[in-house]
Amino acid sequence: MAEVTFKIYRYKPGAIDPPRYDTFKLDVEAHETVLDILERLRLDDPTLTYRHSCHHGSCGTCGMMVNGKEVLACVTRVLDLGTETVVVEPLRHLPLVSDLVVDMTPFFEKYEPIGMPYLRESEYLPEGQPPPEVGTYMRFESCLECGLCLSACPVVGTDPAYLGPAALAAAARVVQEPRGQDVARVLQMVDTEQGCWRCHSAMECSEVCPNDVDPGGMIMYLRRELLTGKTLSGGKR
Amino acid sequence: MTSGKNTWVWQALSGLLLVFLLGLHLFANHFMADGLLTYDDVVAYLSNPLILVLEVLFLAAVLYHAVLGVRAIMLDRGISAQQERTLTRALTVVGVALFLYGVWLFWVILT
Amino acid sequence: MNIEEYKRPEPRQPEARLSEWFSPTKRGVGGWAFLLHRLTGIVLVFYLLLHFSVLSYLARGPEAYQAALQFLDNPLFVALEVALIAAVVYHGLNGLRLLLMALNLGVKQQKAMFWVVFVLSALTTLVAAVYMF
Repeated sequence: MAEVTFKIYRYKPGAIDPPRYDTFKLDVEAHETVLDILERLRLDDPTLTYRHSCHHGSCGTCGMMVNGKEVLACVTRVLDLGTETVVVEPLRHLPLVSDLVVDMTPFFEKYEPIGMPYLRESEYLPEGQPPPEVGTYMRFESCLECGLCLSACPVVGTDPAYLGPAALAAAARVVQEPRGQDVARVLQMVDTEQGCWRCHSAMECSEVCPNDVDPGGMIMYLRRELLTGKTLSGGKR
Repeated sequence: MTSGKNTWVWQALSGLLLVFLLGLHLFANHFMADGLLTYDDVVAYLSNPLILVLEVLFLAAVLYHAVLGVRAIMLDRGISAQQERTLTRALTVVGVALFLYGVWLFWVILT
Repeated sequence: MNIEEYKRPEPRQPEARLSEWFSPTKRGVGGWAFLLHRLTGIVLVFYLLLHFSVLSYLARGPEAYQAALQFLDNPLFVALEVALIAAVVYHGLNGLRLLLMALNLGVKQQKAMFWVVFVLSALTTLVAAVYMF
């Protein structure tokens, strides 16, 4: 139990504009997460707007900046942060709808053209089993589509045309395990100046990813595949 | 639009080349004998044909890498396709101009 | 107000400020590597232009060149040269690190590689500083 000061970013177009920070002092228990605090604050101020769903780090809905770092609010314990003041802000690089809620449309606009690779044949069907020569692979299903990587990426911040870490990680997944997807098409999409070649290897995306997707590593994987003449016609390694 | 991969590859290769050529350039300028301290030292240094070739190569590589680097920074700002074409053309002109200037300097020194 | 009159407000677009690259938000090791690489690159471009103008003295004959060198032979410029060496060594070594990463070699060790780059750059700069002063 400790007293913590919270500074919450507030913005409402036309109402709280320009944005400001509202300050609250609360007694916080050891188990309470940032999301728990937001729920408490909302009882006093029902206009406080944020997104939440599963409350256990598997849906990716509650992504936000806490003390300057991208996290999922539902699994970030306040007292573990170790600071007397906790600053809560919305994700960067995405349009801001209200308070802590961002518009995820640009995220999905980059993501969907890859082909929604998580929709595919069931892994319980024989056709869905990875071929024996595929030694190790990353579960793309790890991606929660939380947008933390886009918020952390310095290139996404200034270049709206860049595909971004999430979409590129999705593409890498298709290349690693096509399961009926058109690998050539996906490789063509990422082999562009706004694709995997725009990345500057800051690896901030992998740093903040809450589920070990390692988009930075996936982008490097794509580069290697493209540099070593990965054929555009097959899904084999 | 240039292929993203090719641009990147040339940037990387010129960078790799520069690690060696720049090392040579710094070594020769500062650590060989007492370094190139007088005008005559410079003339003597450049009179060696191998050195001259390496220095011209160095000039080309450094300008190429710098132009591509500046272009990358500008691209990161999110510019339109048309702006990109203009930018690339402008940078190419600057790069070539500086290269010719450098070659002219070599020629003036040696004659 | 009728529901038909309600006009949903537009979300506020993020500002694409260049300061995003230099923002003070918590960044990992790789983020610092990127920032330093960009900064040293910009510094080196300016230096390159400066270098061309100094070398132009070579075209004006031995006396002009000698005068230029004497002008540069003072502690301030030597200090700047040491800073330049720091920039060049870091940019080059980190560039090699980036090349390795793009070949998917050592991506898992990218943070360790950065520290190697950083330490080597610092050591080289120290040696250069000692040598030049």
